[in-house]
Amino acid sequence: MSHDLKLFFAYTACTRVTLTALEQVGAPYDAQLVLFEKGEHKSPDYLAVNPAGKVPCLLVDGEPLTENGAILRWLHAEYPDGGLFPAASSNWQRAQQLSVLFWISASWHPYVRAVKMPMAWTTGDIAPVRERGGELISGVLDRLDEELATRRWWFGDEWSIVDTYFWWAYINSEFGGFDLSPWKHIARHRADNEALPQLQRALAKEQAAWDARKEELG
Amino acid sequence: MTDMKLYHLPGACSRVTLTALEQCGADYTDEIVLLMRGAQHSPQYRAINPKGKIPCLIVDGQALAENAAILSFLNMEYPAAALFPQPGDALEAARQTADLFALSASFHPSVRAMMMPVRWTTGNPEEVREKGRQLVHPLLQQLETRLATQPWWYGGEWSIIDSYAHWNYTTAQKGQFDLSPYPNIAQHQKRVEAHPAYQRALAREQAAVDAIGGLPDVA
Ligand SMILES: N[C@@H](CCC(=O)N[C@@H](CS)C(=O)NCC(=O)O)C(=O)O
Ligand SMILES: N[C@@H](CCC(=O)N[C@@H](CS)C(=O)NCC(=O)O)C(=O)O
Repeated sequence: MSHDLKLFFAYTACTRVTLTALEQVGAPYDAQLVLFEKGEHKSPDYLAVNPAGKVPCLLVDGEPLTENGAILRWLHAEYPDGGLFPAASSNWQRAQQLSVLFWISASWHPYVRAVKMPMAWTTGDIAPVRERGGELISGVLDRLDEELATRRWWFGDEWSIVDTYFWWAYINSEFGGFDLSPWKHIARHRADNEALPQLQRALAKEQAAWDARKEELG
Repeated sequence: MTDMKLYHLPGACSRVTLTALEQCGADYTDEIVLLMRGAQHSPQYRAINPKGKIPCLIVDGQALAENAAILSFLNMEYPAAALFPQPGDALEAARQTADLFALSASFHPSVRAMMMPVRWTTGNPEEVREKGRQLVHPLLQQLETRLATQPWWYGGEWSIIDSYAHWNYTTAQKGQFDLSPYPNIAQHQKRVEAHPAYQRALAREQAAVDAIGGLPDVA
């Protein structure tokens, strides 16, 4: 049950969600900042750990596990009382929990990328990619806002890690210059997320790691 | 489980879902959603799946969206169908889940850049297609390496991941990706297409097309 855990993460990346999950379950873990700005994610050392050259990557007793959604599910399986997901009593409920993770990972995240890092989707002009990204993000924000009109958190009265995954996705579209103000329930959801101690601890950890190395970037 | 229905379109990523249902020997009905006519955005379909995407599986009147979530659900419900190899421990199970995330969140969106570049831009689709080619290449390179020493993704046995990977690379090919530099993938393609569940899924797609008197031409 007790594992040796080490997370590779990047500054402001989707690893904020993974860090929040680790903080939430209270597992002891090491965390190592990967400086994208220095190309560390494409270095031979890191590619030996994760050939995809992406974060997050969690080392479990030295064995790599990639993909945010898979790491969150693994942590939930190891720490079932950790509060990452509501208790599920059927395969159907488990599948619905997976469905929302796949939705965020396969739709939201690539859409956010189009807004925040449009060069990830084109070799040419970025403005039209950002414009399309804005349309795609609007569509999923509408969906989320509609759901949040009926309840505080995605699954109901209780926070789950899915809420922080949504939070990461929409605030990153804002970093990409996208205006979130039309979505009122999302504004409320955002404030609720930002008040969470587990999220605050994750952000503090990320910031401390960044501060310790940022002068290397000159 | 009593009543199941799949919303799909022949050739779309729902082919993987159909293959899984066939592998499970599940009893289900199905209905085509004419994406080329925008039927995914119709009020009728939005009432079924508000995300406006296929595949969507209805079980006893309730909807489950996301291909990979449906595959996971079927794997839990039909363990004997061996959609995935039996994992040895929790970490191995999580790695199977990670493979589904990689296919759904990295492969599929990159393939979309090749097959439907306008989905990523309001401007010049060729610049997106070129980027798609750059994104798909390393993914296929890794698959090519994996298949150098084993016939299937996980080794000696077929899994639904093989079908999912196959859908991704054949769709990239339809989007003008050249598969000829990947001989192991070419062999894999033949094996996947000879698999009985894949054959039955194609037959099921054809029956659905026949039932509506053929597919409309792409606009
Ligand atoms: N599907 C992956 C996506 C991971 C991903 O794209 N991570 C970004 C940071 S948010 C990254 O590592 N980008 C660097 C790169 O792709 O070069 C997951 O959910 O873990
Ligand atoms: N992440 C979703 C993606 C589904 C998806 O993009 N499906 C396509 C067909 S391959 C679709 O419904 N496209 C119609 C549209 O986006 O309007 C999944 O894996 O189920």
